Amino acid sequence: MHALLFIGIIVSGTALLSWPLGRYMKWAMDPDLPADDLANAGPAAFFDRLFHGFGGRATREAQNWKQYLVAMLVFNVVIFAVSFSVLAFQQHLPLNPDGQKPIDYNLVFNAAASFTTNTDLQHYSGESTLSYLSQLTLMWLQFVTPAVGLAALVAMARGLAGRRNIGNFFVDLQRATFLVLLPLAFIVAVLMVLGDVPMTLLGAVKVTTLQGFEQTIARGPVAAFVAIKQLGTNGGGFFGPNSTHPFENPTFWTNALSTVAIIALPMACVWMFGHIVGRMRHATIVFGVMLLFLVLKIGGAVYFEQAPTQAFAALPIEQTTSNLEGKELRFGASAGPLWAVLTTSTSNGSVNAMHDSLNPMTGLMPMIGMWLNTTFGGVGVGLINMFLFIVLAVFVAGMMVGRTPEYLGRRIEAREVKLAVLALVAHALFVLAPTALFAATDMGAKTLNNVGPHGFSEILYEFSSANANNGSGFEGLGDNTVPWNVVTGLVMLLGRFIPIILPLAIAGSLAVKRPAAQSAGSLGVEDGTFGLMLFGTIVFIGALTFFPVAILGPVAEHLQFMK
Amino acid sequence: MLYLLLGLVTFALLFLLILGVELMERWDRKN
Repeated sequence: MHALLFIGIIVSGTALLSWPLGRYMKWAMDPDLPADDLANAGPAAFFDRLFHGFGGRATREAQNWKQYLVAMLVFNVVIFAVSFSVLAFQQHLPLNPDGQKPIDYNLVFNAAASFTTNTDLQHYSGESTLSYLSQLTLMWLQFVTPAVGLAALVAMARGLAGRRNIGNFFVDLQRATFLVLLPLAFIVAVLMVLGDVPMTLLGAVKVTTLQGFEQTIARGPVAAFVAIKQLGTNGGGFFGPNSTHPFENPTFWTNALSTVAIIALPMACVWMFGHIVGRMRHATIVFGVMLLFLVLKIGGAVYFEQAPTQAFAALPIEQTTSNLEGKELRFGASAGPLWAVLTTSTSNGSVNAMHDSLNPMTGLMPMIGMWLNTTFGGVGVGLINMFLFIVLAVFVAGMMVGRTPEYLGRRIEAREVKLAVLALVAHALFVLAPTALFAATDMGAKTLNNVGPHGFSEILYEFSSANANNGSGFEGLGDNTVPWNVVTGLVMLLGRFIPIILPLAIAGSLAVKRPAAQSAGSLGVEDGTFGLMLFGTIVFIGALTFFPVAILGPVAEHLQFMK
Repeated sequence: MLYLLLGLVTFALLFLLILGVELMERWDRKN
């Protein structure tokens, strides 16, 4: 009962908090400034004025969707190259008090791709592999990569609002970084320090234990890292065990604060979108559909996790409680499944329990979150993914009832549907094809610690996580190998940018169309019927695409082992 | 450095995707 109350307070409390946050984000990201009179445009223009000063012409000109995307990709090439170089040469660079050694280049590629794409999948333990400079470089990416997602969403929203000028990528990037992510991360980091999370640039501490052995205790700028890793739907961990580590998530209160931080910005993005396109009723319907999926997944995870683990079935111990294997008991048994669902719904790869130890059907819930990748999703990109389903739902609904398929007053035609389907097929392809390849060959089979459906689930989860830019691991895999590092690296890069490029192209295409007048023949997107249609489209496309692999993995394991 | 090149080639493919969408748009307009 207490667990359900905790879940209810966290989800509903954050939903309420997201409303004012969404209004603030609209003010920060799309302040409607007069481009020719920034000097008198008030505080929202302060950073624009500053940025125009040293950013030059590139920051002053309005861009169309192609120029915006090119600027975004160029920026990402630069951050990929910079992070690759810092990680590759960390042994020669400063801020390495613990003398961390060179890293294999294939792992450097994986880590650079991972942090460039807001995935933060880690095939290493940060505290024993990375120098502080490397950690801080990755922390910088944890600020700018959610800012890229937020900028892309704002550009898409401007296009859907019918503006040919969808903004300037560099201006949006600095607004997202300095006006949204940095202030919020500062507040959360201070609260984390008050909750006993370490914040220091001093090296590891060597202590002598009561038994007389010497032990090295790693520490560092953990509070700052944790704040942005949660707010920016980054994930990853300063320490290898992530948010199960007592320095990264020490108490019930830091756990509750982290949980709120995980879903706050993805929820607020929906309201910000509503304000920019001027359709708050439509935003409410989309928010409701996302919330319904979230609640269903949380309910499923908590329900299935009530059964004791079958791993202990043959042991002479009484199991009258829920599955406690792999849980941090200081947070309670339900905090693990709740966290697992919230993080995988929002593209946040942090963990506070061992996902490999979840009961089979509980483990399916995080996978569903990553397959759909729309139930709030990552900062900015979650709603961009939802837009693909909206395009399909509008088109299918229009065909079914014989009304003109229009979205926000602009007609959806074959070109938009082709691009949306291409993005959704690519999403499925980058999960299913490498899963099949690794399950059928030694590249995956030899790295498994479990056989049968559970081993298959481990491979499936890893590629689902990489493609959804989530970053959490089911674990149980020996995944620091050349094939794993290279293929998940490529999947992360393609899985990040294709679902940004194609929806922005759709928005650009809609922006130049002449707006159609609303009539009785227009399909409404602001009522419950549309919400139901959107819900159904997501269920049917998600189910048709991923149901067979769910049967081979978690469902087969459930039928085989659970009694 | 082969791995750095691999990342850059992947980005190059993404630039080509933008070009492909642009060409598709021109083709649609023409027909």
